[in-house]
Amino acid sequence: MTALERPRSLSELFSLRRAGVTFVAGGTDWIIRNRGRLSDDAVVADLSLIDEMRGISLDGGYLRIGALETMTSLHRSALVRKYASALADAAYVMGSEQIRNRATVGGNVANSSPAADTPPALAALGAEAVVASAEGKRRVPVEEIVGRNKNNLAEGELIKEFIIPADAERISAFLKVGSRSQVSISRINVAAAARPQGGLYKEGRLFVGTLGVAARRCAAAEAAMGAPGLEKSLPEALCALAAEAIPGRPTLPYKQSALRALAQDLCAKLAERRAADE
Amino acid sequence: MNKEDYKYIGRCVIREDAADKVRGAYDYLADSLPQDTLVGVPLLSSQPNALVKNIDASEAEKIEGVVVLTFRDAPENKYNSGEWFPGQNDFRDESILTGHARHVGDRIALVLADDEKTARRALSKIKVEYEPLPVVADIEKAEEMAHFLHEDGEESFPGKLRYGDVEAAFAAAAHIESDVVCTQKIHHAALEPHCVLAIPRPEKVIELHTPCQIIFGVQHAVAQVLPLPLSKIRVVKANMGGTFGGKQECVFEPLCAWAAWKLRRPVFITTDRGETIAATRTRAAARGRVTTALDAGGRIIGRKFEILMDAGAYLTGTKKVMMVMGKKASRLYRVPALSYEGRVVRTSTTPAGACRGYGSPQIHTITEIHTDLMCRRLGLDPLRFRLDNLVHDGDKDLGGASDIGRARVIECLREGAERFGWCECREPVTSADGRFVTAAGFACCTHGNGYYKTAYHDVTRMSLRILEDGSAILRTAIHELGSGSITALAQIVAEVTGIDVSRVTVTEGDTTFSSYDVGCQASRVIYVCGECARLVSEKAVKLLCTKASELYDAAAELRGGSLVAGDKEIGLGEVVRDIMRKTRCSIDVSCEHAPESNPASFGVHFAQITADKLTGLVKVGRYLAVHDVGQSINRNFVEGQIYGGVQMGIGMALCEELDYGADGMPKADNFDKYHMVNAPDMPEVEVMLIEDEEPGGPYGAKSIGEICTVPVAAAVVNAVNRALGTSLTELPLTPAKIAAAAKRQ
Amino acid sequence: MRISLKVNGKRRMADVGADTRLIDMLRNDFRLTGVKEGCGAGECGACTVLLDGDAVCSCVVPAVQACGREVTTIEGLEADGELDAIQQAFIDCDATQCGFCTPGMIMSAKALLLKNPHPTRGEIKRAIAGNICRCTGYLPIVNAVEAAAKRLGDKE
Repeated sequence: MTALERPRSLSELFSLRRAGVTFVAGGTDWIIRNRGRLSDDAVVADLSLIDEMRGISLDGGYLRIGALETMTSLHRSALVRKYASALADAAYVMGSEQIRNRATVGGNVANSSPAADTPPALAALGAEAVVASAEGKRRVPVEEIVGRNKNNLAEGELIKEFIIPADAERISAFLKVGSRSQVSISRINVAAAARPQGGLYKEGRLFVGTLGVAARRCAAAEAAMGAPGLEKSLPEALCALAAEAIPGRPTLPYKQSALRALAQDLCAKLAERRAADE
Repeated sequence: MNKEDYKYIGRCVIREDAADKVRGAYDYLADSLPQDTLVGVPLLSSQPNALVKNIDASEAEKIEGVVVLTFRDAPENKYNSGEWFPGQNDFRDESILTGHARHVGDRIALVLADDEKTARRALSKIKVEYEPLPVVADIEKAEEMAHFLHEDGEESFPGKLRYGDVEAAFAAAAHIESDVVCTQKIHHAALEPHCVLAIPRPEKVIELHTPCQIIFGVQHAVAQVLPLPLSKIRVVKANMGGTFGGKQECVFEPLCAWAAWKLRRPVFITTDRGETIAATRTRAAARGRVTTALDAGGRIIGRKFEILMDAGAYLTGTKKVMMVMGKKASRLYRVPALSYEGRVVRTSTTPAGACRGYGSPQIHTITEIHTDLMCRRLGLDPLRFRLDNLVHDGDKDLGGASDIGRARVIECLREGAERFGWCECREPVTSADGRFVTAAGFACCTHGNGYYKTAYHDVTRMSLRILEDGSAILRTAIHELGSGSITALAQIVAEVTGIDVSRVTVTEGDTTFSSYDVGCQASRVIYVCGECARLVSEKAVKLLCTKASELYDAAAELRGGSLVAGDKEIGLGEVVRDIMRKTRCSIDVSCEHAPESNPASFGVHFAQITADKLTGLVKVGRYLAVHDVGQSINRNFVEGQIYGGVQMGIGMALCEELDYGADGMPKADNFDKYHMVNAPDMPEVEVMLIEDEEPGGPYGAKSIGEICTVPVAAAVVNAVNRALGTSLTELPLTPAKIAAAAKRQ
Repeated sequence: MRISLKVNGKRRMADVGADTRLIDMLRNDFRLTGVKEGCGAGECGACTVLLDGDAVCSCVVPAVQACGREVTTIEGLEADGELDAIQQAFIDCDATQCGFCTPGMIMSAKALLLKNPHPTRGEIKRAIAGNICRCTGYLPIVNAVEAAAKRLGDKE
């Protein structure tokens, strides 16, 4: 019979000194993968009672988001919409209402599906994950956590929360193209954050998802955003990134075509948000 | 009688099971099982074509209560699950369990336990050793590789139809145009996964409860694996969570019956979505070349078809589907000379079988896309072309099938085009930035109303009893699939007898109590079964009035639900009680109806779409469905069928596909990868009905349930091709295909 | 693990394992068979129930996480034998055909109207985007939710 633990705090969790403890957050991925497959000596730790992994707050110039916050909670949060619009965008278009009510941002990042929606948004926002373990805490940029279908965390580590620089001057956006208009895994997605300056976007951070890994930075696109002619240079930069990331993949031509669409839509969305701020 | 005077026909009567359904009180099989039921989950092949060398169930069998039945335990006789009557003699290549797995999802064993969780746990502990064989994934290579898949030596199953002088027609043609169109394997996606319950009864009876479409077909299938006479095989139609043809063939019934019989306990076979996708049935994929010969005036003088169909791993009903496609080809357009050549091959993929439309969606998708492309190439107006070539009222079917009947397809097209504003929206309109294009398309179609003048017999018998309180019970063998048949038939009984529809009970099929009916297929339920309901109701009224006349010594007739005899008006209940007590006769009549006609139903659908050339996503904006239905029995039910059919057809056009790799491995095992149209992508659908009363149908009604999905894919594809100026002919038109095609233009 | 929770307004208890799903507990322990399993992967929505008023797919919720919380299933919508406005609207608008998606669909609609009593058609479609129906083409369902919202609005 598989052991089921429900720790109420991180210290209680880490006191379960057993190897191979699997964590359950919202369960939307975990159940499908593990149901009926748990060995009798497995230990499952349900994280849902750990309050220190919850909450959205502004603290010392940072937006703090608990790893257990759901997609619904993210896109409804005034703080997230204000300081991390890209993340609110991603949460809003992820899954269905039922899934958004359960899927956690920590789980979304930890699963590291290349098509996940929150990692590129978090990365564009310069988010760091606070990674906790029995040994203590460390901060890791989100783009370094997501590997190819598995995260880069060590055994016994989990994401406690995310901290995002709360920069009121910055605007951000996330967009995806799925196989249908709602309730679809991304075929391609992109997130960008930058400071608008005279019709251009400075100090840009731009990440593209689905290209083998959940968040891939595009320096050329960031440069394009900061210079005139971005209507042409941005799509070119994104297409070049795709060609570099998944050369020869049969899906490359389509992703490039969809990236051209996302480039257009991203420019439009950033312009809209820039105007709204003014 | 004037249509306005109908009390029930054409009205929106609330379906009788709606209240239970909205309360969660409508039990499907899985919701209520007998005590002592063994739950069985199938052990399915993980390989596309392989011999099963060994099944190690030792770990599984250590779990208390677990029983594992493998192909070594099971009868080896072959059958065809697409048959529905003894003597049909379809080609037999399937067994209830197999040691040669011919597709991912083929049935190798059955794992049983006292509950599903334990059965699945046991299933996970079974180790299967396979000896792989070459994969037969390519439909073009299936014939030459047939011997790797089946030992029976059949490489393909050909069939052909021909009439008129095809050579002369083509020799005389002013234009000859040809296209190849490919339609894909589709998952029915009924929300209720497949399941069956079999209960061994004393007196050597096996009793099956199954959400099926042909109880007598299930009876026939079970008789092939159990040494029981048909009269000892009881099949009861269970509440159905959707089927669309997927539960028409007997996929798990023979296995379930055999297991229950062998183990002497009730057995409930259940599947999850992945198992339903892999192990049941699909719509048959088709690759069709259609070639049309036109005279100088744009009239069709001849048509040729070469069709290749993929039966999947077993033949099941696919040869029938292929032949029926050919039969349809002479019923929409006036085609003076026709040659239809079809071939069915088997591949190492999930077997095809009956699927809503039964070949009609495939053949119409082929011809309607071709017709549009042909018109474009020749500079012909697609609307004018249809008007010049569509069948007319009273036309004969040159293929030899039943007369077309009171055809209103030209009216559907004309009135639909006007309502839709076809002339204004036919030309593509591109957005200022060139990225979005909006255009419209349409497609015409026909479908049947039963089996008269086909290869199969069509007959149904029902009985109606009027009870002592004036209520009535109609005993039928029909199968409620969710389309509202029970309520529709109750409406017919109520209209004839004057009995309030809420006091009419209509029973579903139970082979022990129901008289014979050939099943819910071939779009026959309203036209044939509905007419039988009307006839038996009239017969009951006649008996009642005859007996009442004798009793009350005055000519008696039924008026507004009461009996009028001379100057007396007597309530129906009282009349029945009087008759029963005084003449010792109950008001219970039986009527067998074998139709003498099988007219065509028709439909024309119009779709306006907007395509994003960069993302390849297509939004269906406006949609109009025009149908020649003769007469709607229940207006809501007819519209409901149309909405559902449109949802299915848009999926066929744009996103649904059971795709396989070259290695024979399916790419989708659940709805995360198998996408259907969801609520946000469903367009508002306007419905126009032409109700000119088809002779032979109850109050003139004819079919809608299958035909409503037939023209959809072609209408949408035609719209996309018009928008982009492309000639896309391989369904589904995925975003990738559309983006690539838009780029090439 | 023994857990206690409120189901359709009543205090209930159950023994659940690490991978017991909420749908398993509801159907098997509490005999609430109105909760249907269509896909087991959170994709079809047939198993939708309310968890503290939020729509969730019970097939991907660990049962243990319902401990101490409130679950509402289709069986819990009626009050004193009177149907919820949404249920009645589904009947009136012919929004059920085979009925298998119906309980989940109604629960998604219920969750929507609890938060947004006057939704647009677009908002209704978004609320049921995770509920697949193969029979009705969704249109009668959207009509029913609109009708229910209007009826509830008229009552206010």
